[in-house]
Formats: sequence, structure tokens, C-alpha cells
Amino acid sequence: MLKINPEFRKTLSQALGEEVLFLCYQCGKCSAHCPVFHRVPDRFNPRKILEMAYLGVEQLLEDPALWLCTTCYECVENCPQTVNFVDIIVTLRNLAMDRGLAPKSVLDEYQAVTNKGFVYPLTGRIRKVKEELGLSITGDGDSPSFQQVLEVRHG
Amino acid sequence: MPNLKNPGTPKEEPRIGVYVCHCGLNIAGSVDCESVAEFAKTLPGVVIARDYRYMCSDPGQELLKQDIKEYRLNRVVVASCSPRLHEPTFRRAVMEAGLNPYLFEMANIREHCSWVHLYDREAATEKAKDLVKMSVYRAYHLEPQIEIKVPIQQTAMVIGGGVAGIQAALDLADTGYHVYLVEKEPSIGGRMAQIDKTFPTMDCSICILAPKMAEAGRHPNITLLTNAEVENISGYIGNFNVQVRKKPRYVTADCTACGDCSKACPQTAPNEFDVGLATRKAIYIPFPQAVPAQYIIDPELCLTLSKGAIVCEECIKACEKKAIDFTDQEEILNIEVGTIIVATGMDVYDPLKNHDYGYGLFPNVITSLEFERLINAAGPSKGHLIRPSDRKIPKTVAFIQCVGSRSVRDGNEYCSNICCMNTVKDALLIREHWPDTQIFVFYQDIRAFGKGFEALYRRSKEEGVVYIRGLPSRIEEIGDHNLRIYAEDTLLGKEVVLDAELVILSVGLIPRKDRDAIQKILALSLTEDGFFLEAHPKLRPVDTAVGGVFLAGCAEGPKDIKDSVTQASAAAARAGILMAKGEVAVEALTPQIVEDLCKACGLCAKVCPYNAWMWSKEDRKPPVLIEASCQGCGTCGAECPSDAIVMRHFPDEAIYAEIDALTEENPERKVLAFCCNWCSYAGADLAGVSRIQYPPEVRIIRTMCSGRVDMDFVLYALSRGIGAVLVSGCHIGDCHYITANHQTKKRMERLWVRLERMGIRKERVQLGWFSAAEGAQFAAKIREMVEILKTVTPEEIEKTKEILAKQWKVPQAALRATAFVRPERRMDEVATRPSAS
Amino acid sequence: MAEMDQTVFTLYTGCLIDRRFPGFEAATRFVAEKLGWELKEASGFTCCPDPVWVRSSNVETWLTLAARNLAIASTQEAPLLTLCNGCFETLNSAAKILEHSPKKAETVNQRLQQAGLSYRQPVQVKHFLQVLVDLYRQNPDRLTSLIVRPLHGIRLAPHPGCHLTRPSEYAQFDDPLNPRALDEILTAIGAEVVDYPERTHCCGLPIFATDRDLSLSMARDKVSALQEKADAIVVTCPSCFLQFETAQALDREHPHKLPVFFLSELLALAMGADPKALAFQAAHRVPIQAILEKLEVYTHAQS
Repeated sequence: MLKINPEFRKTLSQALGEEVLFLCYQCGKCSAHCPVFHRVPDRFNPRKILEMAYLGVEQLLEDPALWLCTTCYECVENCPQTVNFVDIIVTLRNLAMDRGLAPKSVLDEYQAVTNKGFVYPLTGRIRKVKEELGLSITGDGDSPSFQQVLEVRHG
Repeated sequence: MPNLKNPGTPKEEPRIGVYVCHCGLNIAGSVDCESVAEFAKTLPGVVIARDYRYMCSDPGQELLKQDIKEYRLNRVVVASCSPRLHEPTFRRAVMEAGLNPYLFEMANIREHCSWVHLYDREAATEKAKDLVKMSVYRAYHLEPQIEIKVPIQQTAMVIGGGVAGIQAALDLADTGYHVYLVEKEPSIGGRMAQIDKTFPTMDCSICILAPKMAEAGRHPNITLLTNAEVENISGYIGNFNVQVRKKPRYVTADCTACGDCSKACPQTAPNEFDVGLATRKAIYIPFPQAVPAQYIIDPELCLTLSKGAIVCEECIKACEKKAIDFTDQEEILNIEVGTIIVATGMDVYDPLKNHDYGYGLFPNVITSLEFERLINAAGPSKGHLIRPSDRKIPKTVAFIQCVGSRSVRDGNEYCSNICCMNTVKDALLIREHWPDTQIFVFYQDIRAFGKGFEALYRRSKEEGVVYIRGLPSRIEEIGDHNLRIYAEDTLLGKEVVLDAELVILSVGLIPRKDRDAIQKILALSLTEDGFFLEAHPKLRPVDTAVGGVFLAGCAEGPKDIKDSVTQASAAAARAGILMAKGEVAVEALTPQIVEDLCKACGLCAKVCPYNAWMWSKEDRKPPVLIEASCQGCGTCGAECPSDAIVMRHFPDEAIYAEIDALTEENPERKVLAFCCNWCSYAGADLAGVSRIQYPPEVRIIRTMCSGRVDMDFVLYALSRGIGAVLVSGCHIGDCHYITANHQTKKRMERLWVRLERMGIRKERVQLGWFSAAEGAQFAAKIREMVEILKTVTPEEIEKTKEILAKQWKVPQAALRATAFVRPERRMDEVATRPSAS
Repeated sequence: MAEMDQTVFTLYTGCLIDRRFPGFEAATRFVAEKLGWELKEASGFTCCPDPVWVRSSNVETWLTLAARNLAIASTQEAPLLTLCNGCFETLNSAAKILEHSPKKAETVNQRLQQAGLSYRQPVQVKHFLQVLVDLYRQNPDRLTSLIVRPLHGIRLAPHPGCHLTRPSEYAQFDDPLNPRALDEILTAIGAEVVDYPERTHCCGLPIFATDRDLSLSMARDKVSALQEKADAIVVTCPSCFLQFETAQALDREHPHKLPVFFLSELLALAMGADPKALAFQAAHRVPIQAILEKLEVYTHAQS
């Protein structure tokens, strides 16, 4: 059974900023256009995710489906009610991340970016190719200040 | 006038033209129209027969007119749709060609044939041929008739003082007609006065209604009769006599509505206007904007009036204007009007009887109408939405849609039309009052079809109202009178649960509980849903089958304010058209009496629902007809033991001729159905329009009323070898001719006894009641009749013929009916029909 | 008109090109030079950051880091040129979000200030293809006159990728459901453009992180749909490139592979670049020898 939680709904709608995101009338165009739904309809259905988000079902944050959207925006571009599914899934993922519910691979990437500034490390092989091509090289420590902007200062 | 001195050779040789209409593919799709026309050419008296794509088109009518001139036609048969649709069209066409309109006849090969036998072209074509033959035989007996004109009184009555009634009254009054506006309650205003805001504009309901109420109250052409009820109506189109019971108010027109009396009154009771959520005194005004702005005393609550002795005079003491009158008496008013608009409105579904969703058990489950009063500034909570259990502001509110609507189980199958938008509006109202309230709407479909509706629906979503597709299964009360709602979200296919602090049941609209009184008084038909039936759902949506009576507002079906007002204006216009003409032609269907045959028994006078036959036992003279009173049902004609009554346009000969036609070939494989013009024939038409398929064995003969069906008609059909006979009419109580179908019922009961006594299986003769809305039921009955038909053996048919030959005498009229096509019926054997007086 | 004549840009290479596909940068620089563009350098850029997982992890982090990159670019007084659909989406969307929401801009600026930065001067963000197609539509000769090695007889299947044109609310480039800019450029350089119904489908890369098989099946479906129709697939995004390469490299069942090209590579070849200067061997795991042979380009790297 899914518990409708008006408080969670409020959190969600506040995080999303605009209530316009709740205009879904469940026509199913998003699912029909979704390449992931097309492959694994039982595991990922944007229409159902919208419905649960819309109701304020908190269990949604634990749903593995949350991590299957590629953010290709086919749904957004085809929605007759201008519902931005990607914004909604991003918000849901943010909430899941805050509660430690994100998959490790996602956490790893986030940490790579926030610690080193880049998703991918610079390997010696590539450094060599770049040198051969005469391209400038930026090392991981060469982006000063980036971590400072992420510090949350209180007061 | 019927004057067949020499039957068999009518006064003029019949020259009949037959026109078989294709109606595009509506008929031609399942009937071979060409072969039907070819067949018609072989029928006696037929001079010309054609098939044509659209007979009702201008060229079609032109063709008909030209033929009348070219071939000197004196009878015309059009085989096309129902005469209820195009008979007036073709009557006008033949008239323009110089033929009396009563010499026109229609064979209904669309509603009664092609549309109900879509997949059996062969059988449908054979049936169409039979129907054409019946019409040709009948046409032979048609005679020119002259319609009488009756004057129309130029006053109107509007029954019901809701927004529809008010609008209709104002429109008629502004046109210049005097209007009596009758309202049962102490004030006009109706349901709209109870509502807080209106959708989709969110206008304040009473703010836009009150000026109209006031205008109706002071209009010089409107006589307002509040606290009054229609008791009886007699008469007919243009000339109705209405009896109105005006109940005592006990407060005179001197009342200034200061309210001092009410403050002084010691007696309290629940206030009806606030649906019992607040109280009122024994002397009260229903709501501040009431019209008339005049207090009223509830005689059952008032200490003095209920005891019949002066025990309390607080109000009299308080009233400076001396406007209180304990001696006020009930009045019966007799009012003559030309037209009547029925705007009696609706009731709301009461969830108390089934305790729907715990209504009546849990204090915080309320109805949408109760909500209107709770959110209204003039309501019991001064417009602050609070929940009943603890008067706290609810933080979570759930609406449940379709309570009492769209449910076969609860008896209201229909959609109540307004509840979706009403909930959308109510949800927005709550957000307006308490922006932090979380609102959930459990629905099955949101129907936001009207102008501006979708925008309001969208706005509610923008405001954060949550719509859950699925109706709850149950509600439990948890602590603090909060409510736990269980439902399936049908979009997820999962069960969801929500805790809410207030639940509002979006209750549907139902026909008024006291609707039967008006329905019986005016002999109006009802739809299956119980609302008043319009004359035609598309083309005459505000007319009723009763001339001079029109419908407006929710009496006709659930609708919103805008539609009610629109319909009211339409009804006013329709009534105005009649009154502006000043007179109306009445179909020439009244009877004539053949005095030579009349035994002056008085049976006709006894069975007439209108007391139209003047006859006295003492005189022993043939009765005299009051033309203006007679409505032409033909019950007298059926009952007359001497066959001395000739029904104009529906004479016995014409009906026997139709029976002859349909029994000429394979009668044992056919069912004859007599249908009355107003209900069962219209029901059969509806089966056609709805494309409800039934077996092709049935042949329908139309009479104005089932009361016209003479016992001899049935016996004659049996004597001709028919397999089974159905006599059908309006439901008892719904008869268009007040009580004429009571005679049908009695007659059929006598007939069954007689059949049994003769040794004829009475199951072969059935009686059925079908309203104009019961197409499906009509079709089902035909299927049942065909099952009966299958049990009838050729031996049984022969036996029946023998029995009747011995025990029953063929009426003279039956012999006359087809003498013209039957050389074997020697003219000299057939008695001449004496001339009618 | 002024915009059409734009020839000075700040180059933003992002992390994937910078750290995996340096050849793409070299190819782009070669093309830019041919076109007479000036590509300015700015130091201190980080990952854009990734519009999928960084944004999905924390929208504020995403917006702040994007704003930091924009702040750095804003000192250059030239449009920011991105070579990757993801970088384009992040930087372009962030610029527009900050432009439309003063409140968000204020919050972000407070955080930028912690590092002595500020983003007050709006920066125009352009995708390489966007600039190229604008130029081509304005003056086709500017591009075609540079073609010395036309791609005649080569059937190319364009894969524009999702974030190049979507969300259209921010991208405001080409038709989001039927993008054709890439086709136009490929035609201009002499190739035969292959149309196919799956052209706007996602390559599947983003969910490589969360469901590898599902992710790769999306790319493989596109590749197999093109197997008979095309000689190569062309992308405008290094992520899509990576995905198509990985999907085929890990696919042992299908030995026949479909070469994948980054748009700049083909442009550079068409404009006469020496393949050695494009470092094909560092990026391509699916052999491209057949295409190079068709173009009559000799390269040691492939031998």
C-alpha cells in the first residue's frame, strides 16, 4: 500500500518551485515516447513516477526506477501539459541523495566532481597525446577556488 | 366526412403515389429501396411509385408535388422515417400541391425497419414491402379533414422559482405577457441562492442572482405566488386552467423584514436553507436576499399556531408594522393560462440512506451542498470553512466524486453534469480561504467540457489540488474524528491511503422527490433517469409532448446555471411564439358519431378521460361531442359496442385495412404490435435511432393511444392467422390522455378471459408499457414476442381461425376495409357504412 | 548580423574531451583556424558539471559550479564555445536560469564571492554545431570553399544527441523533435546523409552508471538499425561518442562494427587535416580504416 503524505508533497512542491509541474493529466504520452519505458516497461514508467510524486508518496525515493531516466527530454518535449518530468526526477533524486539513497556510482561521480573538479582523471597516456598535439594541459589541481564556492557558510 | 355510400368503389377512384426514400444509406444500406418501389407499383390504387435519395430534401418534395399534379394523385404514401419526425414536412408539401394534408400517409421503414435490422437486408426489404403495403391500404381510407383552430390565452405560468423559472418568467414578462410564477418555498431563488460561488467564473452566486430575484418580484407583468403549489391542471394547449394552493404566510405584505419578530420568537428549528447546519425561529426569513422580503411563520413550530390557541404573542408585540396575522387562511386560486413552463428543478442525492462513506456516522464527512453553506459568508460559520466535529480549520481535505451519480447500483446511472466543476470550484475556494490546505480529489473522470471549464480545472492544478483517479473503497474514522481513506490509484494500479481531516462528498443531482405530482397533473413523460422528457432530444429540446407545456432547468436533466438560464430563455421564447400567434390548429383526430347505429348506451361518455361526450341517462339520445375538450385518444371508438363512433383519420376501416395488408402473406410468421403515438411508438423509434437490433417479424400499427385498440382489431388479426399480437402504450400513470390506458388494461383483461373461454392461448396476445425513453425495453419485448411466435404451430393457427369463424362475427368495418382489393368479397354482402352525423 | 560575423570565442573543452579525446579538441582547433576564428583560452574551468548526475545529486552544486565556469568565461568578453552536448546543456541552461531568476543569481553570486568570483556579465553559450550552421546558412561558401577532401560516397548517419536541442526551453536551437542542422553540415561537406527513424533516440549513456546493460542496449539498437544503411555514425557530443564506442567494443557477438566520428574530426579531414594531427588512435576503438581509405587518407596510426 502506498501512503499519501501531504507533508512530503509539500516538500516536493516547494523544492520544485512551481506548481505548474503538477499539471499532469496522465495521458501517457511521456511513457509512449520514453526509450527506457520502451525497453523495460515494468521497471520504468514516467507516468507512474509522476503520479506517485503528484500524490506525495514518499516510498518513491526508494524506488530503483528513480535512477533509470536518461534525461533525454523526449517526454518533456511531447507533454501536452508542459509538465517537466526531468525537473521532477532531478528533484526526486536530489531528495534521495540527501537521504543517502543514491546508487554508489552516482555518489562516486558526484564526489569526483566536487573533490577534483572533473569526472574523468587525466591519465599519463592522454597527457602524452596532448603534449604531442600541442594542447594545453589542465591538471586536477589547476582549477583553484572551485571547492570554495561549494562551501556553505552559515550566518 | 365519411360518406361511403358504396364501399369498394370509393367516392373517387384512389390514385396513390408511393415514394420510397433511401435516406442516403440510412434506409438503402439495409433495404433494397428500388425493389420496394417496384413492389409498390403492383399494389391496388397505386398510380406511380418511385425511390429517391432524400425525400425530405427540396427536390424530393418538389418531385412529390409535381407528381400530384401530373398524375392527379389523391393519396400520397412516403416510406421513409418516423412520422414523428417528418410528417409535418410532407403534409405541408402535399398541401402546397393542393391536396388535403390528411390524405398523406407515412410508412416508417427507417426507425422501425432499416435501423433495427441492419444486418438482414432480405428480411428488412420484405418487411419494408409489408409496411408500404399497410400504408397503401390505409391510405385508401383516408379522408380530407379540416383542422379546428383554438385560441391561445396570452398569459403564462412558470412552475418553480429557481434561476430557470425566474429567467423564463422575466423573459416572458419583458416580452409583454403576464406571468404567474409559482414557488413552493417562501422565497424564490432556488438552489442557486444556496450556492456560494459559481463556476467557471467564481462569481458570487447570490450577488448575481439577487438582482434577478428582485426584478421578478417587482415586475408589473409577474404575479409572484410563493409558498404556493400547483394542485391541478385541466384544459389543453392555449387554454389551461390551473388550480394553485396558496398556503398562509401569517405575515402580511406590510412586513419590512426588519427582523424584530424573529429576535423575539422563542421557538427554534433547523434552517432548511442552511441544510440544517444552522437554526431559524418559528417566524423567519429563509435568507437575507429573499423575495418577497417578507417573514413567514412556520405553523408547526409556532406555539400559537400549532396549539390553535394564543399562548405566545412575542412576535405580534415586537412587530411595529402590525404585519402579523394569525388568521391568515389558505387560498385556492384558479388561473387561466395559455402556456406553462415547468421549471421545478432537482434535489440533491442524499447519502444518508446508505451512509455512503460514513456520512451520517462520521461528523467530518459532509456533502457538497453542506460545504456551500459552510464556505458562504452568510452561512452558519460566517464563511470560515471549519469542520463540524471541533470547528477547527481542516488541514487536509478530500473530495469524493460521483456520490450518487454514474452508479447502476445506487439507481442513478447518469452523470450529474455539474459535480466535477463544482468540486474544482470548491477546491479553489478552500485554497482561497486557507491557502495551506492540502486538497485531494478522488475521481473517476474529470469532465471539464464547458466553456472556460478546462482553464479552471488547470488553475486548480496550478494551485496544487491533487486529483487521484480512483473512487475510495471505504473510509475509517481514526483518532480525533480524522478520516482514513482507502482507494486504488487506478493509474498506478496500487492501493493508496490518505488521512484527511474533512471529507466532502460530491453528491449528484436527482429528480425532485415531489416530481410525480406535476408529472401526473400534466401527463408528462419521464426519461429512464426520471427527469422530464423533451419532445425531441435535438430539435425540440425544451418542448414536451404536451402542447403548450415547456421545460426549463434541472427538471429536464442535471445542468449548471448557465445551461439552466439558456434553456429558460429558450422555453420562454417557445411559449412566446405560441402566444404571439394567438391561436393554434389542433389535429383533426376527434370522433364523429353515426347516429343511426348509436344505441345511446353512454359507454363513450363513461370512458372518456376528458368528459368530452355530453350524454344524459334520462334523454336516451346519442351523445354530443364537445370538440374543444376532446383530445382524440379514440378510447370511445374502441369501446363503442355498436361501432357507431368513427375516429377521424384513424377509422376502423383504416386499421382493419392495415391488418389485412400485413396478414396477406405468412401471417403465422408475424407479430402485430399496436403502438401509441406518444410512448411506445416513440420508444420503438428510439430503438431505431439507437440501432438496437430486434427480429424483423414485427409489424407496427400506430394509434394515438392504446385506448384506441378495439378488441375486435386483435380478434380480426387472429382470425386472419396472425401468430402473436402486442398491444402497447404509455406506462400506467404516464398516459398522454390522463387515464385512457386504464381502459386499455381493463379491455385487455376482458380479452384474455374471452380468449381463454374460446380456447385460444392468451399468451399470444400480450400487453406492454413502454415510455418514449425505453427503446431497449421495447426491443426486448419484441424478442420475447418472437419467442412466443415460435411456439405457435400451423395447427394452432388453423384451430384459432376455426374457433373465431364459429364464435366471433367479423365486424362490418373489417369487411369494408379491403373490399376494394378483394373481388371475392362481394360488394352486396358488405353493408354500407351509414353516414356520420 | 553582428552575431553572424562572430569569430572570437572562448573555448570550453569540458572534461571528457580534455581528459579522454584530445584529438577532438585538435580537430576543432584545426577547423576554427581554417574558418578564421580566434579561440581564446581561459584558465580555471572545471567540469561543466555533468547535467545528469551532478544535477541529479544536488541541483545547487550543479548550478554553482556551472556559474563558476560562466564567471570565468565572463572575463573574456566572447561567447563561450562548447564542444559537447552535455557542456552545452549545463552552461547554456545555467546561464538562462541565472538570467531569469535574480533570486537564484543572487544566491549563486554569494557563493562565488567565497572564491572572489562574480557572475554579473551574462555569457552567451554556443555549441560548436550551432555556430557552424549559422555561419553556413549565412554564407555557405565560407565553409564549402574550405573543403579540399569532400566526403563523396560516404554514407553518414547523424546522431544529434539529446541535449543539443533539448530541453528546447533553454537550448533554443534547431527542432527538438526533428533536428536537421547536423544533416545540413554533413551534406555541405559532401557526404551522403542517411535518414533513419531512430535518429533522435537517446544513446543511453547517462544510465551507464545505474544500469549498464540497459544503457548499452540503447546504443546497440541504434547501431544495429544502421548496420546496413550507413558507413559511419556522426556525433556532436563526446559522451555519445563514448557510448557508441563502448557499446560496440563490449559487444562480442557482433564482429562487424560501425565506425563512430566526432563531427570536428570529419570537418578537419574534409578541410585537409593530416590524420596524424587528429590522434585517432587515442579515441577510436572501432576501426575507421575503411572510411579513411575511402577518403584516400593514409595514416600510420591505423596500420
